[in-house]
Amino acid sequence: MGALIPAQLALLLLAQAPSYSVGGRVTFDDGEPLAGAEVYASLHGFNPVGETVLTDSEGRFSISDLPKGLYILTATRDDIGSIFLGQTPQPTVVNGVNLSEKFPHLDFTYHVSRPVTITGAVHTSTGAPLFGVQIHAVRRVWINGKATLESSTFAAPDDLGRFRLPHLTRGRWSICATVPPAQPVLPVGVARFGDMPTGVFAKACYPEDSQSFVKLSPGQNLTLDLIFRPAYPVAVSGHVQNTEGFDSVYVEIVPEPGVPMMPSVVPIDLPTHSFAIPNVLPGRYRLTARAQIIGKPGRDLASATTMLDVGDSDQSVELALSPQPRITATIHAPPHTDKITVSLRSADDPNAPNYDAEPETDGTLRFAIPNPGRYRLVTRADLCNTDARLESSGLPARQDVRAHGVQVTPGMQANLDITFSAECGDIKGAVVDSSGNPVPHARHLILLTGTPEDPGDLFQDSADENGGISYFGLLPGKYLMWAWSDQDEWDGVLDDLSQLAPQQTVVEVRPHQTSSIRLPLLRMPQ
Amino acid sequence: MRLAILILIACIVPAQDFQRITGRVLDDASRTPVIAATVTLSSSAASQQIVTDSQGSFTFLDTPPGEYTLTARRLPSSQSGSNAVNVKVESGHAPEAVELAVPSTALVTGVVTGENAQPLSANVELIRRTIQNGEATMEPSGAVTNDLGEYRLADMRPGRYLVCATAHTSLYKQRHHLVYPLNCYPGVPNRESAQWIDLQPGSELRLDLHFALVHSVRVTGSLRGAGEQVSISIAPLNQSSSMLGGAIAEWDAKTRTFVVAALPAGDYVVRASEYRDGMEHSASRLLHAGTEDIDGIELDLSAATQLTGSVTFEGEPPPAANPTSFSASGNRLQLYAWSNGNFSFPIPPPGTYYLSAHGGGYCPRSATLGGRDVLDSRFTIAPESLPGPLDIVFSKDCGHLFVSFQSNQTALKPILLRHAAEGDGYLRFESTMFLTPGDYLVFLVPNDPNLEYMDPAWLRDHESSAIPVTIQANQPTMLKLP
Repeated sequence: MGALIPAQLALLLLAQAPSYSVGGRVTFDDGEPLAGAEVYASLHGFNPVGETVLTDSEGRFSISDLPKGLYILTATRDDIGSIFLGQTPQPTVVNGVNLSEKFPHLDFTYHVSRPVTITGAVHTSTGAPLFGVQIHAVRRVWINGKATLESSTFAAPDDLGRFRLPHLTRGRWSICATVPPAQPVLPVGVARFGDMPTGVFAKACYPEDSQSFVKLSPGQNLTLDLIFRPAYPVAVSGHVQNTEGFDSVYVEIVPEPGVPMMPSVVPIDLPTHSFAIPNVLPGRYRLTARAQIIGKPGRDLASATTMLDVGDSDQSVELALSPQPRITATIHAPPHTDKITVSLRSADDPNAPNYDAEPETDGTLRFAIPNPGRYRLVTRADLCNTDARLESSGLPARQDVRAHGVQVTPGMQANLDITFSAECGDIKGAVVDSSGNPVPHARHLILLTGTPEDPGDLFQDSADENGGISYFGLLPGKYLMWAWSDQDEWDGVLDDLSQLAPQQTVVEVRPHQTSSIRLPLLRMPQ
Repeated sequence: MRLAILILIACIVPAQDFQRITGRVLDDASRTPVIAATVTLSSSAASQQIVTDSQGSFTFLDTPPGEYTLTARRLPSSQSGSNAVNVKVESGHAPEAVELAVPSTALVTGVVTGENAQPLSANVELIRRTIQNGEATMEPSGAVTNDLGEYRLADMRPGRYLVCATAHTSLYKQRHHLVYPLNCYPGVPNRESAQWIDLQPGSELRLDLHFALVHSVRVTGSLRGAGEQVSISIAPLNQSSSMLGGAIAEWDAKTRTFVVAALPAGDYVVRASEYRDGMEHSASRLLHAGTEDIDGIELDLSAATQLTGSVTFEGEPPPAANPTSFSASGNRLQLYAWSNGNFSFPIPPPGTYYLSAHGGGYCPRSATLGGRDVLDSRFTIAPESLPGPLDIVFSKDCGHLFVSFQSNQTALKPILLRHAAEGDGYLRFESTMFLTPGDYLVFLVPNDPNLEYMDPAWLRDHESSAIPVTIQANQPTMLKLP
């Protein structure tokens, strides 16, 4: 976790032992223990390492004799499926268990949500069941202070059109049935000979309005009917410029979450620079052109990207390739420090991955950022990150990247100087309700850089069973914090952090001091 | 303006000749409408598909004059559909409504539960017994359970089935020497002792399967001489062609070891194989799982394991038109040869085989495997052994059999067999031409696609009616049926 060590990791007992172990207790939202669940540790969430153990009637478990390492814990029970323990408010992030010489034995309390199940049937407007369709659900989640969508696995209906989507997380869901691309939806009952509906896709969603969601509380089951109606795809075509010197250029279309399409790749016709993507359903897509030279694989040498809103009619797009940006980073830190990770995170697209810097043989770090755009700096270390400045031949002065992020331009060549120091402070305290009582497992968020309107580096975590929160290794200064009950789903309601600005708590951090806070719960918007 | 009117007229006039084709899809047995059936209307030029409505009806509007074929399927995935119905569209009168009958199918549903009646994640297989060419074959159709342990197999062809299921055993149970064994209806641990179920057309069968944990052992071992793309499987002995009741081993390429976490008691064949450098490398071993864990199984994949041998043609060597080819299916090992020379092929899976050897215009005069005659005998390819070499001599001195029927015998067909020289069983000959001289038996079998006449018991029972023939070299044998 680096500079930001969550409460659980910090409250650890030190001991000298030849082997490593992890234990804890697992309960549901309402405090009921998760008894009789199988728990195992794994290195990447796959094959178990060490023993698989059962939780007792109190939900307790203990796994010993593990080699040192960073583990992910998985709990499995027939009625809940498999759940990663240590799931953070950020859906894609799971807190790992780092067993090291420093912390050979760890003990945690885990809080899991009762799963929800969505069942139903898909049929046509005349009542006939539909087969050959795919059903999936998307959940509204909050990543890096912005609302986005997370997709469930797919289900296939049986011969009566019935389907089940079990073991889902509570939250705000939208459920859609779609026909896989290239598979025509057959007309029902009446057709004209010769009007083969090739490429006609169809779609049914619940709620019908794709902008609304149905809220499912822990343990709730939803049964619904999906009635299929046709939707009409369009063609996206266009040209890619600056292809000279490349012999492999292709265009990739990736739907935003919730758009019922699979990503696809089409080559461009080099003599005419043109491409055509048939059968695209209305929705928002990221369109990226990538250029390579055959025989020099591994890296895109040039690229171009744009967001595309596809409507009801055919669309044309012009893309101009530009050389890949090359950004290197130089780290300035006191000697004997390690565990520094530096990433750039897209400020525009919450679903884009973090681009981590890879150290090169000479010790500098290189970012492989494929797409131009605005990026935010995210650093994690045992130390606090004091300064980060970017120098580029095209810039008049060194830019303060820590505060404002970096605008990556096509073909940009720049160096980033990042300075760490040991002059840090800590925050310790608890999340409290309106009566001043601690709120166990409350979710909390700290804005490390940027503003609520334009958030930079931010960190979300869950409080411990006593409502306790703590952060270590913060650069002296003022920080904004928020907390909400894990029973409320603020992250599923709000579009972005600026809506929370009126309820922010300001915390001041001083060097070598621990700031004590009582962080009040947010009031749910009505 | 004038052009637009002309086009309009051009479109309208022939449309008066267009007709609509209407119809219904019915279940063959119950004659009830089939909803959401897929109907295909095709002409020599184009085809159009439609799905029946909630009354089982369909209508194709504005069909131009011509000849069409209509077919229907219950589900897009159905193996068989209705008979094709020809429809002629002529100007002036509408074709009659068409009825398409799709074959009646059966529905099998059920719940799979474990020791505390909890739902299990399981694969349920319905294995259909079909007769092809007088021999029984097994056709599996599978379904997986949902989170409630429910499975559903719709659109099953009527027939005789075995029902077998495998259930997922959780890691904790595996580590504690427990496993859900193969479970075949009515609750037996292997296919051989399972009971046949007769699925009638249009029937619905509810078949719940209950699993009980049994003791299991952990098997570990290592491979020598293996590359990276190894596959290791454990199959019950005598059932090596099926994965039912077997297990897949986890192979760790780093430590060159494998683990089978939980195996119920029984006799197995563990087999490792790898295709590398253009050759099959395999090794197998017998394994008896009892009450104790088994460690230190060693399999050596360093040498290519090929069945090698030679083909010799007596007299003038035939032109080297084609290489020798080789295949193993069922219990027959088939070899086609066109030229003298040596060959090598992957060793087929362990089992009992008989050889079927063909040379263009030649017949096998002798065939030996490891020095043993395999021309007149079945032979066994055992695990833990490398059979070979397979040496075959072809000769031009062959005979032919001609069978002539009486006019009232068209419901019979002759099959040509030979007693195996050793043990039980018969060797079968597909062709009546280019036969190795010797004694044969001609069985007259009813031309019934459901008769399993290759069953040794059937053959024994009917041997008294078989006609013995002696094939002599270089002359035709005429058999006139009584």
